[in-house]
Amino acid sequence: MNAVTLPRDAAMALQQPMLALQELSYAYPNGHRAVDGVSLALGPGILGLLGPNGAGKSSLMRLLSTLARPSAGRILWNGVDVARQPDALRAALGYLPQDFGVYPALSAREFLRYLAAVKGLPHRGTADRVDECLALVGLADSANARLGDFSGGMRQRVGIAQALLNDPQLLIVDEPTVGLDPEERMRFRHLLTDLAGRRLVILCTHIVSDVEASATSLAVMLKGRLRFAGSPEQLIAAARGKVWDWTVDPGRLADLRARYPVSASLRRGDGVRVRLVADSAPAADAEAAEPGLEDAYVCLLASVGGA
Amino acid sequence: MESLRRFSALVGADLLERSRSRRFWVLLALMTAATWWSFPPAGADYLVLAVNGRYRGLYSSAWIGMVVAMLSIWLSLLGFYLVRGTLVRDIETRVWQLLVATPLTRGAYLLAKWASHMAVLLLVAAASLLVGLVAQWVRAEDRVVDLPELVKPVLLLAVPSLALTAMFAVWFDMVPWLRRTAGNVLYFALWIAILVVSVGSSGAQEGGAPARVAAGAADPRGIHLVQESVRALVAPDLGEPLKPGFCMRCGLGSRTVKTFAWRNWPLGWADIAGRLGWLVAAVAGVVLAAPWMDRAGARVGTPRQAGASGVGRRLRWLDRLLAPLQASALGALVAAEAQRSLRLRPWWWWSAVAAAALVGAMAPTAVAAIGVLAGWMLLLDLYSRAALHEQESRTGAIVFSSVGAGRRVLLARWIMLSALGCLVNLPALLRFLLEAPASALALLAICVSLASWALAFGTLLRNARAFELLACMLAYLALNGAPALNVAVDPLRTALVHLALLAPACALAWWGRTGLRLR
Repeated sequence: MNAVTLPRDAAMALQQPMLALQELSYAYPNGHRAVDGVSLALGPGILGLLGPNGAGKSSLMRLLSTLARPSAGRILWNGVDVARQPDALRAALGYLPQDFGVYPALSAREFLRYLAAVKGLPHRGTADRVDECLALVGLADSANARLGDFSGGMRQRVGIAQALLNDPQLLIVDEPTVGLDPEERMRFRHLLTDLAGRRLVILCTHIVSDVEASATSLAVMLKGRLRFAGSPEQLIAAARGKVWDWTVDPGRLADLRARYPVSASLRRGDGVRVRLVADSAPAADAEAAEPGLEDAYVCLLASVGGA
Repeated sequence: MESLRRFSALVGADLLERSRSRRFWVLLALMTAATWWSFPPAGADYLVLAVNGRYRGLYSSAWIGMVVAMLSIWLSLLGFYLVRGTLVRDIETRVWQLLVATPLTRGAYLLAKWASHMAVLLLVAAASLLVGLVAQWVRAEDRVVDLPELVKPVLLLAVPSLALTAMFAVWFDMVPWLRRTAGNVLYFALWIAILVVSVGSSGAQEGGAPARVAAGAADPRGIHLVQESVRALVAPDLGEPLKPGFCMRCGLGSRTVKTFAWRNWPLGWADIAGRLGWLVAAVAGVVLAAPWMDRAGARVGTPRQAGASGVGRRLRWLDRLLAPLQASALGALVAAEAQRSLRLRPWWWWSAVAAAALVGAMAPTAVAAIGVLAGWMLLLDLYSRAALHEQESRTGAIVFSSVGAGRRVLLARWIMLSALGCLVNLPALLRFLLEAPASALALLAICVSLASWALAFGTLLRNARAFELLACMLAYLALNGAPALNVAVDPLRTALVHLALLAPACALAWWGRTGLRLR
C-alpha cells in the first residue's frame, strides 16, 4: 500500500468524496502493473495529477473514464462501485483523452451534435447545448467549418467542448496542452479555471506549469504508485531548505547533473546559474532558494528515486 | 557486412512483429488443420488432389510434399492478407521517415520487407510439411522418410508461387489506392486470374522443351508441371484416359479409392529453371519498385485523407435529404454516420454507383443482378470498416466513455449500412418489386444481412480483411451463378438463408460491441 499524506481538505473530502479510489490497481496481460494500489478521495476542485512519462497517469485516466477495468481495487463514484455500475459514472463524465481523433468531413457543430446523440443527451435542447459549448471554447465563429481544416489547438478545443456537452460533474483532461502553442496553452488554463467550481476536474499532465496555474490539489504518481497527495503549498513546503541556486562554470554542468537533480539552468555571462535539489548546500557559494512547484516536484521525485 | 546486418535486423523485427499477431496463429492453425485433413485414411469418403476423381498417390514423402505444395495455392491467397500492411504501417507510423534517414537503400528496404513476407509464409508452409510428415507416419502407407523428395515440391512449386504473393504484398502497400479495401479486392481478382491461367496452361499437351518453357511461363503456380509429371509417371498405369486437371477435394460416393506409387518427382533442368524464373521475377519486381518508394512514403493516410484538405465534399443535397432525420436522436446519429461516410467518396465512386444502378434498372435480370452485386461491392470498404471506425479515427475514447454509446453507435451504423445497401440499388429494387418480388425480397434480405455480418466480423475480429475476403469469395460465386449474393438465382431460398442467418449475425455484433470499449 502507498503511504500518502492527505491534507485537511482532502481528509474532509474523504468523509463525503465524490470520487474514491480504493487500492486501485491495473496490470497489463504481461503482468506489468501500470497502476499499483492507488487510494485517493476527491471532492470538487481541480486535481493536478503529475508524474513523469510512464508513471501510470494515462492508465489511471482510462480506469476512471471506464475504458479499462481495474485488476484490483475499487472506484466509487458518489458511493457507487463503477466496476459494477459504470453508467453511474459515465453519465456524469466528461473525458478529453490524451490522443483523440475527429471526423474531418464533419463540421464542429455536426461533430458535437453527433457526439451528443452518442452520449444519449436529450434530443430537445441538443442544438442549444452544442452552440453553448462551442461558444465556451471560443469556436462559435468556426462552428460550420469542417474539422479537417482545423488547427491542432482548435481541435483540442473541440475536444474540450465535447467533454462539456453533458455538463459533467467529473471532467478528466489527459495531457491537454501537449502540442499547443503558448497562447493556446494560456487560453486552455483560463478555460479550465473557469470550468472548475462544483465539479471535479482531474488535470493529468507531466507539465508542472499547467498544474501550477490552475490546480487546487495535487497528486504525484511514479511507477504506478501514488507518491504524494495534498495541496501544492504542502509539496512546496516539503521542499523548503532543499533547493539551491548556484552559479558554476559551464564545464562542470555535466558533473553537476550527475550528482544532483537539477530543476533549472540559465546560461549567463559569469557561468551557468543552476537550480538544484540537495539536502544541504552543495557548496559554500550556493544560495538557498525559495522553491517553486517545479522544484518541489523534482525534489519529491528525487526523494522517491524517480529523478 | 553492415548492410547485411541492417537487412537481417529489419527482417527479424518484422517477423517478430507478425509472429506475435493473432492473425498469424489463426492462419497457421487453419493451414495445418487443412493439411491434416488432406491426408484422409483409406476408408474416408473423400480425396484431396485426386487424379481422374478417384486416384491418389500412396502417402510417401514425395506425394505428401506434392499435396502440401499444391495446398500452398490457398496460402498464396490467404497469406497475402496476412503479410500485407507492413509497409503501410511503416509509412503511417512515420517509421519510414526514420529509416529513410539512415544509410539503408530503398531497394534493400523493400527486399527486406519481401524477405520478411517470405519468412512468414514459409513458416506456415514448413508447419504444413511437418503435419504432412506426421500424417505419413500415422497413415503408414509408406513410412520411408525421404526428406529431399518431401521438400522438393515445396521448394519448386510453393516457394516461387509464394514469392509472387510476397511481391504483390509489397507492391500493393506502395500504391496508395491499393492499401486498403480496393487492394484486397483486386488481389482476390488477380489470384483468381492467375489460377485460371495456370489451370488453362495445364490443359496443354506435352511438347518439346520450348513448349514446356512456354507453358511454364504461363503457370506461376506450377499446376502444368505437376499435370505433366502425372501424365508421364501415372497415366500409363491408369488403364483409362487421363482427365486434365486435379480435383482438390473429391467426394467418392460409391466409388472406391485407388492408389498409385509416387516415390520421386523427376524434373528436367528446363522445368527447374522455369520455376526458379518465377522466383527471380518476384525478386526483380521488388527491386525494380525501389525508385517509387519515396513517392509511396510521402502518401500518408488513405488517398482521400491525403487529399488537399482531407474533408471531402460538402454534399449539401445530402444534408437536405437527411434533414428529416434530425428530428430524433437516433435519426441524427444515422444522418451523421451517412454524412461522415459519403462526403469522403470521390467522384468516380458516385459515377460507378450510378452505372451500377443503371445496369440494375435496365439490363436483363441476370445482368441486373450483377449490377446489384457491383453496388454492394462499391460499399465494401464501408461494410468492412464499419466496426473499426473509432479505432481508425482515434475517436474511441471520446465515444465509448459515455453511457450506452456502443449500443447507439452500433444501431445507427447498422441502419445506415442497411439503408445504403438498398439505396445504391434502389432502381433495381423498384424494378424487382414489380417484375420479380422474390428477387426484391432477396435484395432486401442481403442488404440487412451484409450490414449485420460486416458489423459482426468487425466487432469480433477487429480487422477489415476477413470480411473483405469473404465478400470477394461470395461475389465470385455470385458471378458464377451461385445464389449467395446473386438475387437472380433461387431468390426465395437466398432470402430465407440470409434472413435465417440474420439472428446469429446480430447476436455476434451485439456481443462483440462490449469489446469495443475495452480495446
